[in-house]
Amino acid sequence: MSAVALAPQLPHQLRSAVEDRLSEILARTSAPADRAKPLPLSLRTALDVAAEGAAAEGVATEGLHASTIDELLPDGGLPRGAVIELASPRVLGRSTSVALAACAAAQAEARLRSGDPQTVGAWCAFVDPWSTLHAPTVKRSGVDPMRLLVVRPPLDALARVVVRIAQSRAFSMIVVDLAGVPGAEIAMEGASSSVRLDRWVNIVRRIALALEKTDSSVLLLTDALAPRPLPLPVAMRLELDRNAHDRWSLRIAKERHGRVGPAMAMTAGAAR
Amino acid sequence: MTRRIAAVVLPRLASELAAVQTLARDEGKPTGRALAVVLSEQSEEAANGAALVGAVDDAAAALGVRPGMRVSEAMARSAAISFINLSPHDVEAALAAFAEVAMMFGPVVEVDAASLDTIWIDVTGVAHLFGGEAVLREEIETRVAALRLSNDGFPSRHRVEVAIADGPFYAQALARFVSKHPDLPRIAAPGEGKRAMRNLPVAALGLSSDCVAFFGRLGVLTISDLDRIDRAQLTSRLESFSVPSASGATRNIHEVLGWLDGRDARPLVPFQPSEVLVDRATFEDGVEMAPRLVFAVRGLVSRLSARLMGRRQATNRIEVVLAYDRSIFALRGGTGEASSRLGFDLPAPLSHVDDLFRAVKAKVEGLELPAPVIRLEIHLSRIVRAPEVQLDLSRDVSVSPDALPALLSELSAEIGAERVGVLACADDHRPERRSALVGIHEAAARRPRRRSEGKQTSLFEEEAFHSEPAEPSRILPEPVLLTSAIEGGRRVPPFQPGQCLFIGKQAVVVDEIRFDRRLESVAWWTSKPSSRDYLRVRVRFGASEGTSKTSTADAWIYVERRTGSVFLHGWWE
Repeated sequence: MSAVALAPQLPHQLRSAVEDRLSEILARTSAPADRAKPLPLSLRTALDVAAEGAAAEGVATEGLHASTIDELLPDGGLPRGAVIELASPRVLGRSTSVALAACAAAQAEARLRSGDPQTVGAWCAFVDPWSTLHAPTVKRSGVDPMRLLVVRPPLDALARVVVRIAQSRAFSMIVVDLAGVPGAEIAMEGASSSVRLDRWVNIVRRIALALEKTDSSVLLLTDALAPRPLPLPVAMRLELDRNAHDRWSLRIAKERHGRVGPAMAMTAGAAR
Repeated sequence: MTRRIAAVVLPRLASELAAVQTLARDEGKPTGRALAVVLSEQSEEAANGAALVGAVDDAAAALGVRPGMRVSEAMARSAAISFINLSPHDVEAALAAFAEVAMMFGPVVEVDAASLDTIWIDVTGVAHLFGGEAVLREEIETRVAALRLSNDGFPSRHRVEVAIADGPFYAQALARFVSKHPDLPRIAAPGEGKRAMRNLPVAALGLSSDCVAFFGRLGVLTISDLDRIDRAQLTSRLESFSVPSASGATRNIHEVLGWLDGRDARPLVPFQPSEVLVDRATFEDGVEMAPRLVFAVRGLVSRLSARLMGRRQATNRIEVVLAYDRSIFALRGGTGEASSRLGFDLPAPLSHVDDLFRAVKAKVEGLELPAPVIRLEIHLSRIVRAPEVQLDLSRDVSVSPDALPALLSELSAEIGAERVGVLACADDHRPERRSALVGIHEAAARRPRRRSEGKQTSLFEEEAFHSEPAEPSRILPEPVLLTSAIEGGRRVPPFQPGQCLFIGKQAVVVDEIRFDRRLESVAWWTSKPSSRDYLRVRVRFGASEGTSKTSTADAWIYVERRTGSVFLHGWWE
């Protein structure tokens, strides 16, 4: 049990997660030398709480166990102040679920800091050029939609908009969809199905510069099958894949300290 | 508490305005000639030898030209003087802009419409907020002097004198004469206004030149000399001259006597700022390139921002008006008015110069100009109270929520307000209509601040939400018709595992089909009611270039029951 007295109105399913995170935060603030190194963003809090909360209310949920993802990541969570690439074939490897979980985790952490669950969370942003993000799912993912700025720029303005959003330093987590799901380009009538990643090398560098010395992170959702003459200069590249039903894998393809490895199996959440 | 008034005197305002005009006329090259200004509504008045000089610059003053002289007299002094005609309304409008900046220093501000060179600020009880009267005086001087009147950075700094005393007259007199009398204090201590004035000339009282000359002939040169005269005699003498002031207005004799007795209690008449802020720049040669226009925008926005911040207000609508060169506009085939107006609403009120500039720049820099721009105007047409951000000690230092309003404005200006917002769930059975992007302020207005204040109203009905089955995370904006590889036609059914479908040019194989839900005659009152059978379909993508792996995904597909057509509607992602 943490030494911190929790607000009595805190929901039961949040308590254990809150205690763990508060202990970490307190440990961080009590050791000034470590303050320069931000803690990784743990997805466990947000995803598991959302799943438990939904289960308690009899709502079926979809998704990956976030605690599994945390365990597979080198530091137990997503790095902060960095650009992270989440690649999956045709953007259909549950990268949206993971991205929403990251947003939920960032918002939940802000609430934990205040100790009052009624406090509004941190602002996150979702750049969705193909206009496919669905509000009910956002809510079901544990994300407060009122603190998730959704921007739907035309593709020719996408890079400019993303850099500007990163430079604003107004967001804890920024998700950028760089490849539309299959069919999106037909629905958008003439829009390209993905952006040219070779043009994003310099843009990612600019974004990384904008994120320096901040706790914000940018998640780029990319198509793992898209041609790329050069790899994007991201701090971490995660590859999500689904080979057969309920057989998911996560591979750390790039990490700034070289902690890469083969694909690791994950379990999916309860399916309907 | 003793009343304290700050007088801001801009002794060369009219000549500085005239210099800006001259600079624009001479294509930005200063001529170096001395300037004398004739204040008149008639544009040719400066050519009239009988007209009075209203203001002069330092060079003209050095040649012996003084305000109040006839133009012919001034011409006789030197041939190297340019006479410029200026409308008193232009000077008053410029003074009003300075007054708006001055509003940040006190609750009441007055503009002296008679002399057209003075602004008074009631600073009673506010000096401690700035660190004392000395700091306050310097701050006023710095802020007012920094408000440049032209886009070319000219003048680099306005000539401003600021003095603080117990009343408007004492403060104005000190500010006007402090440059000529270095020993004069810029701040007269409470109750010491009369004492500070004693060495000033009689002319400082604003008496007519005849009256000042009369007292001069008597050897009464300073205010302390005048103060020594018996009040009964002085009153009769002043009455004989009717005490008209130098600016033409008749001085109240009791007011003048009150100043001599140490009373300066005239209340300030509050300045009423305009409801719409407008600033403009004109270009003699016309501007053809948008980047140069952006440079001019920076100057305009800088001035407008200073005025807004002085008023403690912000704007949530900006209009940019561009007037084109008529002849070139017509030559290039332009029709209608040779001007254009860009108006855009800001999602949040802005007042800071950088925020305003980013919003306007995003709109202006991509413009294709049909002809050279000869005039640029920026109108701030919707003025609201400036939002105040509470100091948040627990905020994460690396995240700056205060930057959000500016970002929203910039994005709205660049890509359109309809593309920026938050997602809201709409109360509709059709999945494509259950998600909507709404503006942040619209969404916030519909949501209670805290859940304890009441049930959420319309954006998201919690009970309805939990009773609904889960939906995919990705919904296509428009359902996509699926076609069959075998039939090559429009209709897919019978729809079964093993079948090959085309999503555009992408082939997929159906692995598994599960029934998800049925929509029956939704929106039956319309011409196209929806009757759909939704299926959750696991599809397999074939190996693509460079990899031998196949991948699977869960598609959300529906069969339109009326026609039998099959549509892809989303992905479980």
